[in-house]
Amino acid sequence: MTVGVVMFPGTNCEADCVEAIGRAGGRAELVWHGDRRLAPVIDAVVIAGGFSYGDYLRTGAIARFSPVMAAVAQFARGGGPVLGICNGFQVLCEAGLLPGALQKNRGLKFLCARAALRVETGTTAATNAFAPGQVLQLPINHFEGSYLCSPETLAELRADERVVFRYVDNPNGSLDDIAGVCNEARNVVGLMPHPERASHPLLGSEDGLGVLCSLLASAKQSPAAVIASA
Amino acid sequence: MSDTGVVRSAAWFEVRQGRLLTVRSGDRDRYFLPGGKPEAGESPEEAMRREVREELGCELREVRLLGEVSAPAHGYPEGTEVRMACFAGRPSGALTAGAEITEVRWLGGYEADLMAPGCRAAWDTACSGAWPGLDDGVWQSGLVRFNVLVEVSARSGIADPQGATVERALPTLGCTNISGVRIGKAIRFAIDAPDEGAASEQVLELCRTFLTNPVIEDAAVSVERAG
Repeated sequence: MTVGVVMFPGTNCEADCVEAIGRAGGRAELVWHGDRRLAPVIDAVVIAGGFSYGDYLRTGAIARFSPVMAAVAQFARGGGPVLGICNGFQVLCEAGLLPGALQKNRGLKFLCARAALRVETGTTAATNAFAPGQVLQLPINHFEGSYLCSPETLAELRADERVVFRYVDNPNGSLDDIAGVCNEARNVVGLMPHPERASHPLLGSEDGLGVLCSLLASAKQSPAAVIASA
Repeated sequence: MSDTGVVRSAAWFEVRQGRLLTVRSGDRDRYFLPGGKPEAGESPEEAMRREVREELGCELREVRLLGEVSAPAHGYPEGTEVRMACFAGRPSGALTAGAEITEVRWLGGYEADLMAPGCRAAWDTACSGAWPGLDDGVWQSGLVRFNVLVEVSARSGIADPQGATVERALPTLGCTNISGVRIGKAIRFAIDAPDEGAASEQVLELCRTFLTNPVIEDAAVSVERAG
């Protein structure tokens, strides 16, 4: 299984993602933002964290227009598993692949901490290795991580069990304690915490590996990997 | 010796939709008409055709002389004058910048201060109607320049932590009479559009798709005709 890790100018978590994906049993390949197509061998996509395009205008706002995002959107539409981490989550929201938006944390605090995260559903591309209710310890590292969406969208997310992760103790003011959501087809998942930074005992937690293992497992089942570069 | 201090040149004068075709070569700081100085034995028209071929990679047909303009020669010692024969002509194909051309640019009248003096003189002469035969239609692009200000702020009802934090700091300065602080972004740009309605429509669409995230942000747009 090969996971494409998308890099924009300003992305800074790609190496961690590559390493963690390796530990989860996959192979990772960096994907440049200027690429118009994903390589045929890509079975899943991770949009890594950082500060794409300096977070100018809004977080993720410019990255969304990168050539590679059209390919990612096509990959996602075909059912390919896509995981957006932190800035990657923001990019997916801006691109309209996920609902809602991320705004500045409550109290204008940059947060760099460990957060307890409850897995709310085991039927997404990033959580199929978990049982609902399981609690993960993952690092958070963000300024614009407060999730927000319209009341109608929230109602939909709840009804369809598309809130994938909730903070046990809401650190940033996110609506309904939301830390991660998925799209309708459940193959596109975004979350603010960093699973790749909880992928080795030395890092204090290996809970993030399950997220990446889930991604690899869903890549195996996905019909989309082939379509990706069609 | 009567021509001491005079540079002769020949240029192609081409206007489309109200904008003048200009080129910039090397690291020059002004835009020039495509053209240049005749070489020995060359007529002005031949020189103009050669320069246009070199600079823009096209041949011209239906060439005719519009007139001659004089102006201070840009980049020459003070007192040097350029006398430039300006020709109209139809290009054979697409314009492709030659090796020495840094930039090909269609300048509008509002950008006249970017033109080298000779270029500017030709533009002013043409605008004054002194060169009959230039189709009046080419002057009227129908486009008007508007200055746009887009103010982006958090949607009402949505937390604006920056505004709230600033507001909380105000009492320490003795400002207890200030409330409702909101912090946002101001984005300014110019837009060329047929009228204010069309400009506003395009700006609003741009706000919706790019400049704001409608989930969390509102935009207040003002569109004013550029002076």
